[in-house]
Amino acid sequence: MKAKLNFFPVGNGDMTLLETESGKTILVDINIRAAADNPDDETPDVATELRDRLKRDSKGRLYADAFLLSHPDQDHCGGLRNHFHLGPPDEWSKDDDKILIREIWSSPMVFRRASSNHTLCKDAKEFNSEARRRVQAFRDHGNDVGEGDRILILGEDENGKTDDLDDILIRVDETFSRINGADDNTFSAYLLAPLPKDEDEEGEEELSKNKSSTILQFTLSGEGYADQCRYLTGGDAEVAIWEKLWNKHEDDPDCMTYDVLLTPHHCSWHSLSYDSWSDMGEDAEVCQVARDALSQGRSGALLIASSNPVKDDKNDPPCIRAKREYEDIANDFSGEFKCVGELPSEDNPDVLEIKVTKNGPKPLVRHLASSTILGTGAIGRQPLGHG
Amino acid sequence: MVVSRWDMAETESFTKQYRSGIRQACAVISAHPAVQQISEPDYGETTVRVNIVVEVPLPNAWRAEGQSPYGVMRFEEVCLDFPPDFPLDPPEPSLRPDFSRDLAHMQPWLTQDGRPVPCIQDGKMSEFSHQEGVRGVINQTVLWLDHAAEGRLISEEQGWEPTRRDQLPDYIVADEDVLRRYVDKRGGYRFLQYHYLRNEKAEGVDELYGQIIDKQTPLSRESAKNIFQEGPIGVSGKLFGGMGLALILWPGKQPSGEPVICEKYAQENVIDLASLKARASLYGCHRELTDGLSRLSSSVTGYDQAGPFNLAIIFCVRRPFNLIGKTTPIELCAYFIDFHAGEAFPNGDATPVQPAGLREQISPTLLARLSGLSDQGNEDSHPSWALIGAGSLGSKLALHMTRAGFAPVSVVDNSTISPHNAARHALIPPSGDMQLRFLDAKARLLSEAVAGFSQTTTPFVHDVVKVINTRSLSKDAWPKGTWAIVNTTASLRVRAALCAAGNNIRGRVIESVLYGGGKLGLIATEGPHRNPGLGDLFSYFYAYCKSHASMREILFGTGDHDLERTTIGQGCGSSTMRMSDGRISLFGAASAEYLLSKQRDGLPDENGELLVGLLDQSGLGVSWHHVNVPPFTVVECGNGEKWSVHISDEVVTKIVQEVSLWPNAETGGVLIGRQDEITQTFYVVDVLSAPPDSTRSPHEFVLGQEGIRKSIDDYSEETNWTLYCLGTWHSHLNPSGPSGLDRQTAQAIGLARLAPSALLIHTPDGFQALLAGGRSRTDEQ
Repeated sequence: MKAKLNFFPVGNGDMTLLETESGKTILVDINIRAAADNPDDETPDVATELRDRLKRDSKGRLYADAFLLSHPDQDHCGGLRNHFHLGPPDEWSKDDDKILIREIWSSPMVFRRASSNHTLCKDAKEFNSEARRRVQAFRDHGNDVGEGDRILILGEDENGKTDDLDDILIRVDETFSRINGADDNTFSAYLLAPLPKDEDEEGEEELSKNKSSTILQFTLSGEGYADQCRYLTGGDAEVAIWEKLWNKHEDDPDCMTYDVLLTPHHCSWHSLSYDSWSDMGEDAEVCQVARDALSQGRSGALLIASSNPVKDDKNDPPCIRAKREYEDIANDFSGEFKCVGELPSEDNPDVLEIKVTKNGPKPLVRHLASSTILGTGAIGRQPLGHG
Repeated sequence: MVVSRWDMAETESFTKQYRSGIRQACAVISAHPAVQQISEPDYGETTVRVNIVVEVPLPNAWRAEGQSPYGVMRFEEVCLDFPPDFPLDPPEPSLRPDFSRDLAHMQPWLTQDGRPVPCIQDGKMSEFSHQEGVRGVINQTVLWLDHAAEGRLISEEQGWEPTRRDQLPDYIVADEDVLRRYVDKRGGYRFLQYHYLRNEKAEGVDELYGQIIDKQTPLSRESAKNIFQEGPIGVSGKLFGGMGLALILWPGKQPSGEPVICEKYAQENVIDLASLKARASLYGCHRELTDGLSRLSSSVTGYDQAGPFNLAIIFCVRRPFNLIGKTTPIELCAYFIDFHAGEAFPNGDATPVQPAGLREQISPTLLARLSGLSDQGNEDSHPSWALIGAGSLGSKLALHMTRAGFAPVSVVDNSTISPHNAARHALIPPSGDMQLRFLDAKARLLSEAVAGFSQTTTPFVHDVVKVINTRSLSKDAWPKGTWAIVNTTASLRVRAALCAAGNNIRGRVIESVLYGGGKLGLIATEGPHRNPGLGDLFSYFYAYCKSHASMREILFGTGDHDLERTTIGQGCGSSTMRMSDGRISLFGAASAEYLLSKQRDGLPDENGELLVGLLDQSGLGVSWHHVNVPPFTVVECGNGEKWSVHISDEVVTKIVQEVSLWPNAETGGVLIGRQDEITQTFYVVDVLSAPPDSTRSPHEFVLGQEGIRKSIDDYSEETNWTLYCLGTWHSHLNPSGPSGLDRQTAQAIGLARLAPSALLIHTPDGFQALLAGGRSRTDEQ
């Protein structure tokens, strides 16, 4: 089994599938837009791409071993209700054929901060109910719960609300390699955030406003060799969070190193600076501490923007200035910046696949598909008039 | 990186259509995600070149370095040379001239301007490009570079690619498996017998062809003079034949005790003794080569013929995993070197050495592998079989099996080939004057043909029946361990002799036979301990065909045949059976496939079986019906006669069912089947119910008369008197033998017809039987 990272082209949104060497699948965020489900629309059909990469269990259910929602925004959980089975696993329906999530990875603190800031979308609310259902199942049955009922809590909640969940709780700065109730020696994950509740009200408010997200450093083995790829993923976390993280880990930054970085918030300037790009343009200043936090790439590391193509304009995200900054960061370790929405071409973005070999991570060789030559070109991209 | 751009040289030789094809190809190539740059086509004199720059996906750390440790750059320039007949033939990709050639899957040639050519596809590129187009060529080229960058051109899954030697003009023929068998853990060398032809093409340029014989030859000063010879053949003065030795070398183990394995792939580059020695070091055979050549040098010191003589050198190289398409990791690398008597190599390390191709000698293993039987190519899984009859069907069956590597151990046939046999016999007549030679015994000629496939079939030019009945012949024709004897004679006499031989025959008998001008075929396989035997099977087969209209018509239909036909099934050896060679092949091929599958899977371990093949209406195919035939119940006749009654399983069931209907009275019916005077057997394959006027009581069963004669006659007519009434059966309520009444009835029946009849009795303990002697016998008494 080859370990692999799959970045789906979902516009300004995140959707990443990690395949471990042992064959486990970890899905981090989804953004399956309605247009992606419409066969007549050009938007890449990411649901099919995802399903093609998942396996079925003995009951014929398509499943992901784990699903992590980095934070409850629509562009990170869009399409959840349509494509994933929510509720007790024995209610899974063959006709609907939705994807079963064997284990949910959820951060109550991230939800708390998001809810205090804005109204959650329907998918996020459903995710939250499902997480609560699973926590209750654990409270009722302990570790006896089966797949489809399992949950892992990433980060402690406030006021000791997660104190009775020790068996399913991962605390910040802990490393775990458990997935769906079993240990897996081909991956580990270091939990960097959500940072626990700041006793200082102002500090806590800042975390809430900075799009608090679950931040993990995954370490994957490749072709039998450990630690062949470190993947740092942090949802939409913004500048203050990265600043805090760097202040915390500056002296021992190993937990922030990466071979592949998902540039936060779809290559947003807000993760690198307190200033607004659209207001201040080139006068906006980089926050050096946050930049340092995101600069711990190992040799040749890839910095991936899960966003629409990055244009030289006032837009943010994706932000051209952020791209330039990331390219600058990449230069320090001969790395490279890549935008999912631009590969292999802006017209035809496809899943960006990075396989983890014994020689480190490497983009999968792409083939020229027959469809590129023989595809729908003959009927054109727009209705053609025939006189 | 710089990509040069060529001017669009307007050359007359390229048509507008051709140019448009090239433009289209370029558009496709530039659409490939890995293609970073593409040049304008450069129209040369005969080919068109397009240069492209490909970004090779590299792991992070290597991308940072700009190249892989295997020497592949992140951006590789690739040339695509389009031939004049493009798109009939595909463009050939080539790499920068300094690209390492020490990689697997590299063509052994360079482009005219010295660029290495990657081998991007198993099989023929021209076929591949017709399937996949230019798209496939560019995809495979990028994939090749991707694999090359990570040193993955050779993978355990696909197998080790042997160093390419297929383009070499000089070659050696050898049984590769034989050479590999010398390899042991200690390492060493051996000299084997070797014959060669030398063709002087030009001054100092020879073409060499050699063959290695698996015969070890000790080499010493004394033996050397009898070993090495070379002399002219014919009058051209350019062709020479030689006899000498081949030096086989294999590596030993490392100090750690692990075998020496050569994991490095290196392009063939040996040109002289110095580079050969370097090669030997790479293969882990340096000591073995030095020892072997020293032995040669010291042995030829005193030899007075000058030479040169040729020496073949074969390295048996251990690779880390199996070679592509083979089940061995031992790669054979062959070379030619000339030496002289006196001082073997006066030019020392500068002595020229030619790499040689290796052609596998025709061997049963090679044939089995090509036949898709490579994983089973041993004697255990393919036990030995013997053939009876070398006629058209037998010869085809034998050669199919031989081509799969499993020739028969013997063939018995005393007939000679006649000119008319040429129409359908598998052997090919020689031309012109040599035809006389063709008119020899079929068995001997077949055996000679088999020998050409490096296999041995012993011919027995004897009457089959004599072989069956003569112990001294049969023990040689069917040696111990013979798994099956296949009779293709279609001879009733042979079949009868086989039946009569009983357990004197080794192995199970299988018979393959055609009927009705090749419209119907049968493969009949005896059960364990010859039960059901051939007699049982054929009787069963006739009953089976009677119940299938299409088969019945072919087998029993009167047509051109005599009305009163006592012989069934004319062999294809008979001149009256007219059918084409192709039609016999339909059945011959099926018989061979059947035999191969049974060799692999085993014969049925409880039953016999019939495969009844019916030619379909188009005449192109045969549909095969499989019939399981359980063992027959054998009952010896109780009244002092040698006759026995063989009852098919179905008949036993019918009788038992009938008996169960009459728990308190005796019941009975009429036996149908065949009888055979030679084996003195009644083969019972059907029963007719007792007529309605029969009476049943606890002590007596009286067979009625109403309609019974007509039923029996109809039955016999329908089978053209192949199956007929054999006598009667009835039941006893107690386990008692034949009663006085039974004996009287037997006598009465005996008087009533010429042939002997059987009186079968079912008792709670089993069957008993009486022979009703037949009028002719009774007369003699």
